Amino acid sequence: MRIRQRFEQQLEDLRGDVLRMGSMVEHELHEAMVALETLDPERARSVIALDSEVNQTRFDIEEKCFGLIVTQQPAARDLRSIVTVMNMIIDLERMGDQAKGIAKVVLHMVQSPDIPRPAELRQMGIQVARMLNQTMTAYAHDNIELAHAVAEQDDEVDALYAHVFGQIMAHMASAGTPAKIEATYEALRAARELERFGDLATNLAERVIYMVTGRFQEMNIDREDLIG
Amino acid sequence: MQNKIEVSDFNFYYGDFQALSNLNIPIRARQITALIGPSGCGKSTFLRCLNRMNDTISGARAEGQILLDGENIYAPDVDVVTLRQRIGMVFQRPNPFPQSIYDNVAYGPRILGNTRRDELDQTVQESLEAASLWNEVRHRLKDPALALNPGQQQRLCIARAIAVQPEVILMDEPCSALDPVATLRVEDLMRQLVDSYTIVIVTHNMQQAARASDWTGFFWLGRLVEFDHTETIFSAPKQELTEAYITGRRG
Repeated sequence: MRIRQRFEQQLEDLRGDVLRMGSMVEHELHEAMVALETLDPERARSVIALDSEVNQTRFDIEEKCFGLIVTQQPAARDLRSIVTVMNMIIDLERMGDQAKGIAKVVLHMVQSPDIPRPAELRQMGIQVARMLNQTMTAYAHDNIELAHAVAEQDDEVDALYAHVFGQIMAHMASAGTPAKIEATYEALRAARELERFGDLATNLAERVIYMVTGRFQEMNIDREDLIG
Repeated sequence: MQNKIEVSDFNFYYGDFQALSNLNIPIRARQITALIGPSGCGKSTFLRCLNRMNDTISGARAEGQILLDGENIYAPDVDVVTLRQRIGMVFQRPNPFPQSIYDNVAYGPRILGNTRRDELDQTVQESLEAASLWNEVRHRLKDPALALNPGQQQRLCIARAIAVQPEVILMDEPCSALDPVATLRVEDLMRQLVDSYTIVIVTHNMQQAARASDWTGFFWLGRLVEFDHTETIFSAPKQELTEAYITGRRG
């Protein structure tokens, strides 16, 4: 195989690795959400184990990236796709951490089953899973329209989060004891993890747009920043 | 940013063959401009047009303008010798004269009429210092230049070019005959010189263009396909052809 062909093959393999890592994180989130729904401590613990695999995958991919940079000295689109991978795997690893955070919340909730679990949490979980899935599809096919569509969905996640936040604040205000307030906080933590998951999915979409177009474009604009 | 050289609607022919077509290139003052492209794309021809080195080739013909500080270097009243003093050149293979190190550097100033020993001594020292060679040769200025290693010979040629106080230095693949260490020394030297001179370099080494230059122009079949900041050319070029060439898909 000629050198250029081999390099193209290596770049395609790298893309495959990232897509597999994306699936791992998607699965991790799914398991965390089921554990939250069913308050299943076993499932929550399995999520924590899954997260270690995600972390290891990130290091394996990063090593491949360094290998390609040092041996191929890439430029232009080749360079952008490798740098994009190096950024995406960091974000994916953090998204895995967010799913693990939800699993830890589940382990707390098992201790105090009367903690509120607003219905919006489930909706948030479905929404951010869809965002991740679409981002990875956009990455697989260099589809920048789809990447833009992902970023737009983050507003819905933020709105759901605001809803959950309001409900939990009300619950905290009516909670009689510090122990109950602390327990209620766990539900807020789960919502916060999902909200961050959505932000990172948007980051991934930005990376895909950069890879394809060579232009940086901030899409995750915080409405509160605009208000000042 | 000021343009030292402004190339506008420039065409160049070898007889019936059009080697350069409709070039428009700004060469910024005190910056390094790299010209890249496959063999035969016209980049060296273009470099030689910048100090009219192609004039002696029979059938060679230029159209359009190349302005040096606003003056057309192809105007009929231009003195080519003065032009080449203002725009010096360093070639692919180090080509010191078979003379001493000192006489190599003093050659240009002597031609320009400088014969005072103290002034020549000073020019030789300053030029060798500027070319980062002084410390290596100060005790053997009378030694033959051809006894130096290739990297030192190339820096001597740069010192020789500097000695006539040019404004622009053209370099035609100045490192292609040098090892990586000597190459880096010449690149470091270019970065030092660019504080005082405008440099245009033709190179086949993509990494060299990326490392050493501020601006990069990509030539293809006698045309300028793209000209931009070096970082832009090597990270996000606008033209497909540039992309294909620098990533090794075409060339």
